[in-house]
Amino acid sequence: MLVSILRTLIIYLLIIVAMRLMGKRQLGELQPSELVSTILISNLASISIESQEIPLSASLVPVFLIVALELVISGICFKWPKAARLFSGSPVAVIRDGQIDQQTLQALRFSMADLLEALRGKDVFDPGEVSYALIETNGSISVCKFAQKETVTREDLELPQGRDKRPLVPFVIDGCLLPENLEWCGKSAAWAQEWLARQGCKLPDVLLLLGDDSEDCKLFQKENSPGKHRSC
Amino acid sequence: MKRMRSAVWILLILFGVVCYSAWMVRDTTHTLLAQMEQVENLCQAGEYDNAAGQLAQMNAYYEKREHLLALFIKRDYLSSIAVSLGGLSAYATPDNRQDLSSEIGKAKAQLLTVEHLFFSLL
Repeated sequence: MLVSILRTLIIYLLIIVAMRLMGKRQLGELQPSELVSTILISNLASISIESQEIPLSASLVPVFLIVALELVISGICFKWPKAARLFSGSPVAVIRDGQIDQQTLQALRFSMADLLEALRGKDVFDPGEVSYALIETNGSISVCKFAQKETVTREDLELPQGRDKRPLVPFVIDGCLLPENLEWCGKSAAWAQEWLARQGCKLPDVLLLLGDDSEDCKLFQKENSPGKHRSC
Repeated sequence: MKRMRSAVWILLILFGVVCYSAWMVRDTTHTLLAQMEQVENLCQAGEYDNAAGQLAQMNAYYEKREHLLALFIKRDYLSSIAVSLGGLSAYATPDNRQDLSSEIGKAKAQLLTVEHLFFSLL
């Protein structure tokens, strides 16, 4: 039993290393080669956990070979777009000027129901509202609506331009200061401590402190916080 | 491009592991086969004490290598080879010469099977 726990632990940690090496691309929408490597890695990892008589190298060598190949392929695709087209295919337009390209849909084996479902996912319920829609290489749909169907902006309404503020970012999470965010908004850790002192709150009691480049901040204090502080 | 460098490192490490495992398996099987050959020759020459000594040496060698081989080969195969090799010393007597050569034949077949499974592609 102890061996099985240790093997699971080793595999778990090494697969995390492998996924981290492959980067964030692997965690979002998957390209065909990424999907293949993810499926293979999950299967290979489970073999060594299930069967203790099989050496760990029987799983780890293929896993890391797949990781290396995935990294090499993504590097090649980044450098040579032709290779990217070969490995991942190219985006295909399915709607142009509100007209559904039925031949392309057939070629993609994309039914009308599939298309409508994908469009609904983009808050489009009428394909006639779409000026241009593409099926991306990862299978997702990108939609560009007709100008008259787009959401109005301040610019469209010719409203005066507001001050370009930084978005609200966390300055403190669970009692831990985030100096990078503070610096980005032109503030310092001392400023945050001072601001908290003015609110009668100590740093360890802060659950979340949100702010931007203005002097205003939003403070969320911990409930029953005394004595339950963790180090950052 | 930092990740490409990691890929190259991973491939180099894997190449090292593959070379080491291939050398380890080939060297172990060939050494054991040669030692078994020697045991057979010693028995044919009637040197049973030397043959028993050679078998003890062979078992000690396999015991040392078994842990390393376990990194690359299924434990079932390794333990069955250990059992076969361990049992050979009981036949290193003048009365059991026929049995010894038969048992050595079996052990050799097991070793060759493991080598074949390790190196065969299909």
